[in-house]
Amino acid sequence: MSIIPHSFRLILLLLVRTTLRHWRQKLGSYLLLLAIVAVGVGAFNGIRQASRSASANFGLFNQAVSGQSDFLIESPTQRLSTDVLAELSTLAGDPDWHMVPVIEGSVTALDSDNQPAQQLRLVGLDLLSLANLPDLVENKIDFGQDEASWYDWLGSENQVWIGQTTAEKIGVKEGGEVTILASGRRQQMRVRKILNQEGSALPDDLVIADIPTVQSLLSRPREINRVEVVLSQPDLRQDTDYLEEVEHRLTRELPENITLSPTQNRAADRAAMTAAFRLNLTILSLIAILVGAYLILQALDAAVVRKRTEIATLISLGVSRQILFLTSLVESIVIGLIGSVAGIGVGWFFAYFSAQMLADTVNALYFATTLDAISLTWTDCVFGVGLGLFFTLLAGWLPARDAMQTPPAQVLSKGDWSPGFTWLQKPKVGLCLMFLGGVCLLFPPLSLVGGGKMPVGGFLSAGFWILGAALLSGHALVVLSRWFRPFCTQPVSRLACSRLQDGSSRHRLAVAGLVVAVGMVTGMFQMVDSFRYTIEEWFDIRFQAELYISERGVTGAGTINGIDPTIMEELVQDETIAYADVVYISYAKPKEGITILSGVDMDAWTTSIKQLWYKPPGSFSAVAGAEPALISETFARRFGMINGGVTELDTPSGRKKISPVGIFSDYGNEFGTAAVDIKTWKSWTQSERPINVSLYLKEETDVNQIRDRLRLAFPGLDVRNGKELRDVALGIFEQTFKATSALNIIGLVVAFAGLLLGLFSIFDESARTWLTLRHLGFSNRQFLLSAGMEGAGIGLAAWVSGSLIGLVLGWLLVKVINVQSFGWTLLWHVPYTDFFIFGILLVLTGFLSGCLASAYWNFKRK
Amino acid sequence: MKFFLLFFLISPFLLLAEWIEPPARSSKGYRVPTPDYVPVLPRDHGSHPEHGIEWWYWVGHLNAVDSKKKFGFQSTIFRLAGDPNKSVQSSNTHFGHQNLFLLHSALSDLDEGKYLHHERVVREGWQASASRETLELAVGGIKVNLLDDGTGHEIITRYPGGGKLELSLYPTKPLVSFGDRGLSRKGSDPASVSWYWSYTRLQAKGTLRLNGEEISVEGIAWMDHEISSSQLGEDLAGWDWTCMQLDDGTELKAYRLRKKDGDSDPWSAVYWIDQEGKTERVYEKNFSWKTLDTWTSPKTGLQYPTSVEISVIHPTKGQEFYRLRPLLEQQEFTGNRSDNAYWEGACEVLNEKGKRIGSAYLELAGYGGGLGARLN
Amino acid sequence: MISSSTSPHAGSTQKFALEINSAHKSFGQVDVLKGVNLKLDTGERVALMGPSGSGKSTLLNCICGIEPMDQGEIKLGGVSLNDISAKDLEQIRRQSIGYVFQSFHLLPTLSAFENIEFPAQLLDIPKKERLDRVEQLLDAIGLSQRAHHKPDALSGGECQRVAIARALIHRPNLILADEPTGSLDTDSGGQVLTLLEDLSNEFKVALLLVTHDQASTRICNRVISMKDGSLV
Repeated sequence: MSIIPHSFRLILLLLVRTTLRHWRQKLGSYLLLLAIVAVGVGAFNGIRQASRSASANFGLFNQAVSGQSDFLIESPTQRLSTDVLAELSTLAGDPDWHMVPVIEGSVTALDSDNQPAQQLRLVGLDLLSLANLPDLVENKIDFGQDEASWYDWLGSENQVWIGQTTAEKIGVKEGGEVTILASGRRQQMRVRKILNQEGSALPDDLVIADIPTVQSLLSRPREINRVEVVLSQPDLRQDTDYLEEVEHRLTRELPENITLSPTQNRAADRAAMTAAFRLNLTILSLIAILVGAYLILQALDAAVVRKRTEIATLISLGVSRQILFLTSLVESIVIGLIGSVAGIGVGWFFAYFSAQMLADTVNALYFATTLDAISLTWTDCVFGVGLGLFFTLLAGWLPARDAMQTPPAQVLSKGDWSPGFTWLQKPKVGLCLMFLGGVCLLFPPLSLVGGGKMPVGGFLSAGFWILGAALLSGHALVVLSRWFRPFCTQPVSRLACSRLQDGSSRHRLAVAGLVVAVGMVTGMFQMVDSFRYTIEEWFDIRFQAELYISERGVTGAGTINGIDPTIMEELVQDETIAYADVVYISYAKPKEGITILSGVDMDAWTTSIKQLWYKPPGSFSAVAGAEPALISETFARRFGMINGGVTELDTPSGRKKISPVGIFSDYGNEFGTAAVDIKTWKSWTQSERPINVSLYLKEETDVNQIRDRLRLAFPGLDVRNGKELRDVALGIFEQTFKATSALNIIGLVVAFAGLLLGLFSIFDESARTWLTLRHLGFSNRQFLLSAGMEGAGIGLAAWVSGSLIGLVLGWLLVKVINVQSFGWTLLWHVPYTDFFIFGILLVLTGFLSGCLASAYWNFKRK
Repeated sequence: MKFFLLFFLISPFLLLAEWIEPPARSSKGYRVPTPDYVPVLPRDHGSHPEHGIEWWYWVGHLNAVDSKKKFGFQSTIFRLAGDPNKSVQSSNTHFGHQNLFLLHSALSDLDEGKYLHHERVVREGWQASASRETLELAVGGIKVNLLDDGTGHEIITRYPGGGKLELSLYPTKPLVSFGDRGLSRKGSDPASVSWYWSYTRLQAKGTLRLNGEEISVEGIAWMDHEISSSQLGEDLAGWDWTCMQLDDGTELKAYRLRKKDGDSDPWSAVYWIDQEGKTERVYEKNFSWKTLDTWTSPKTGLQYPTSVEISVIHPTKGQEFYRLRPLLEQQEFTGNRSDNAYWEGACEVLNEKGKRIGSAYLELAGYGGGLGARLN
Repeated sequence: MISSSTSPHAGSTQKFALEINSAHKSFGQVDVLKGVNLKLDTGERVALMGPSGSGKSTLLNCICGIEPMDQGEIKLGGVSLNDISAKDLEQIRRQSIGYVFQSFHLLPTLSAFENIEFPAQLLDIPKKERLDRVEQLLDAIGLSQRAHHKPDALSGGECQRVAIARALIHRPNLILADEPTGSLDTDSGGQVLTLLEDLSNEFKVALLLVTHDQASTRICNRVISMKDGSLV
């Protein structure tokens, strides 16, 4: 018989006869352990799924009606003049494909009190020619009851089509009217028909209408956003040769300054746009797993300690150490496997609840998106289980080694033998990790496909430093207890303190697990706080106008719609206005990714308008032949223009050169903004639509009175004073950090679960001490109190070490990671009050955890 | 397929000899074609938007100049006007809603036995335009223009798979106007009349791009242009229509309007066009339409009488026989809706002895039951 | 039922350090104590011998109140444990009993000094007196020099001496010693026994010494045996 099956049988025997029985005895602990793995894997998988659902969709909302498209015809500004259509008409006649022009925008539906009730996505399509599309031929959507009267429903100015759920949401029936705000105007939409597409409902916020209707509602009469190309024979989509040939035929006859790209690229482009955001979340979610791994290590090690006699006996009976090692590892694998599989379920649950939150963030920061259904792919499963297994194996390795090194029974019988993890007690490893973290800071950031940058070095540093701090935190525990010892004269506190000062590896592990979570949370505290602080500073300097006016109900990067130029013209005529700073915005295309081209009053911006200048105007002179521009710090870092220079942007009027004369701080977006003079902007983008205006009023005017008057005169516009604008901006800001906070909470929850588990095994191990104490007359209350104090001590040590590393992480996030990945400099601000409140909470929670664990332990003993 | 939209215009019974004065406007408010109108060219080749319905239709037989390849083609553009009272005038030149266009095109590769066809519905605007001044049409994949030298016109038709037919068409006979006093009557409703103008013999010359190959082609073609304003009626099951171009330089147009009870409508007719372009006609009771053979479509399961014999009594020459035999069985046009399928294809014309005497195009519509029930 | 109250003080009116009347205890079907009667005078040293499983340890646990009895009564210094609350029981245990274990059971994280001091702290004995007592006891057990060593730095004999000092710090009436020499070599065991005898005399503390070792009984006033849950 070969050795392998024999070993296998032996392992199986050990698992069934010993491991499983221990599991049965300690069912609660093992279930908690599985829950920790599940939450760790769940957090990681949940974030993956949620961010995919929130940001990976194509954002081509019309496809709910028109079906999947194969190519997109776009301009660098993502707007096309309808004149382009005339140039495309020959191409459009080719029987091999269909061309679907699309215009889209965002409108706000008002309720019966004329208050904004819901944001709707208004998509304009050529409803008549939709009938040609393969998808429509398959699943016919009727746009009118009597199709022969197409001229009736096609030519209307305000008729729209909505899905059943939208109709219910905004409470309107067929033939009913909805008041909306669009483009700064108040208008009426009449619901022509509620579409019931078999099988799939239209997205909740989608409103479909004929292109001229949408152009009129959005007051963009000669504009569309893109033309989608749909193959006539969808079954040829798989044929790459055919696709290439079609692409070639299309490109050959394409008008100038218009690009054609496979629709699939859009998903990749969008994924690239949010790459940094998603990576940040993934790394945060990995921390939950890392904390989890600590806890597993802790729990498995406790199991080894508990089973030490048994292991020693097995060794003395002739079971080889390798077999014991493997049995221990198999135990970890089983925990990892069950936990991860449960984690996939937990992940779906997390994703379900966090997806909307992420979608809101993506909408606010990146592009218009809707939620796709949460999907679970095989890759998710493999990733989740793989990650769970990897970390449990990693965590199980040391206890398994520990088990293997147990001396035989006869040695053991002479006394307790528990070496613990000696490396945990040596600061060398921790210091080495800290040093490595420092070295990683020297790595330059990695460039991503979409034009973003990934601060790999920064993330590695963070990882090393967190690990290092976790290892060193045990020493902090010992040192702190030593400091506190003289003050602990009461038996309970003395006992607790002496036990902490003893610094068993179990105590050290409990602290380490918490330190990771605390470090992460305090680091994030600082980043968010620094961000808020910086934005507030920026606000104070940048926003000194009296009133700010933008299109109503539209927030976030997803919707650059703009204000009808005629309305703007009318508005700035108001006699109380001393100066109106009108700003124009459109997308522009650099070599990679996307950026923002802004049109501003250059004279005012370089002289009177206040800015938080990174480099004030006049710091550089524009390169000859290039348009002088004020660029944001993000833009400057992204295109290497922090010391001036020149770069090229594709615009509807061709490729244009810009060269900075100054750099301003801007925290609005991570794609960068380049501001040129309004006249240039208009000629480059061939657009007239402003995005907002800041009004400087004449002296001795009542700001709020004028605000109210303007609000009445322009019901479609948002008119805000400085404070109101600040509130809105901070609201968006808080929104964007929601996901981060959620992950912080998950990390903390896992850490506290671990603290409970750790304390429980600590008490379990100290069974003899407790028994002695009982003989010495220790009361239950004293026992709970002592346990609580131990927990509190661990909390305190974790807070001290965690806050220290948190400070370092905060610095790293603010000064390195943010600068490298988003290109903006934040003012580092430490929220000391929050730190202390957090510390107190941590110590309290530690105390309660100790009490809880000991109470449970006591209960179990009885 | 050109009867497609006129399909329902027909009333069941009418005394054929009687002249019915058409009204100035149809019940919907469109202009009704007026009698004794002499088309003014090239203006009347263009669009007549005050009239509700209009179509332009080309069919023909082509031979490759450098090989023995033979082809048949059909290119059709329909225009359907919106309600003249209801539709709002829109300034949007790219997305109009006063006129809707349909496009059907087909190419029969008679040697290879392949049939390509294509259908689109588009609105007036960036994808469809029809000049009111001259023959200038651009609807989806079909473009038509007068030739600069005034000798004829040019038609470009695109086919699936990158195919394209570019033809110059030169009339060898003057434009023929069918019907009494320039009005082709299609039913008893006074407004059921049309202007029906045809070039019954066009010399065709051009190139065909097919499967990446450029082929010089020449042959003969036929063009119809019909303008009407009548609205839909419902008691016909379908129609069989053919245009024949005989080797002796004459042409024949014959159609049978099939009623639901199986009879032919009295307005069914046969027209002869002699070498000079003069016409003679007889109505339903003077001819018979006999099925010789049928073909069942594997795609739609519909059965079409693709081989027929038309026996007709010529007003002066007496009894004549024309047998039509398809040059390719699979010439079924299946549009976006399968219930609108019809058969329209290149045929040869045989005499009663079985001798080839010319070429023809045959259209068999309404064999799918629900044909024409809706616009498409 | 057999009574073994053959103490020289039997019948006297003096309060007993320990008085057990008809103690019954069973675990499931097994009767561990079957009507045990035992009285210990103040300062009396009694050796309790008997084979494994005879109920010795259970009896000790019942005496110190960790294990409740099914029937019978135990009085410590004249106070019955039957009718008092759990809190009072803890108090009595703290005050009246000192416990010496076979494997010392010192608190591993506390020094010898702190281990000895611990029970006195639980009783809130004023600091000065407490420290005096610890010094005195350290002196008595001869470990003044090693007062601040932790248990893992002490030998087995030293640990047990610390444990004995810990058992005496609060001046209990009764010391329960469960095989105090079981883990020690002969020399250390001898020293520990002598210490117990001396301190018992010095502090007038009764001693119930559970042992297997006939030689250990030399310090006792009388020897009783236990078999199958009864004293014989």
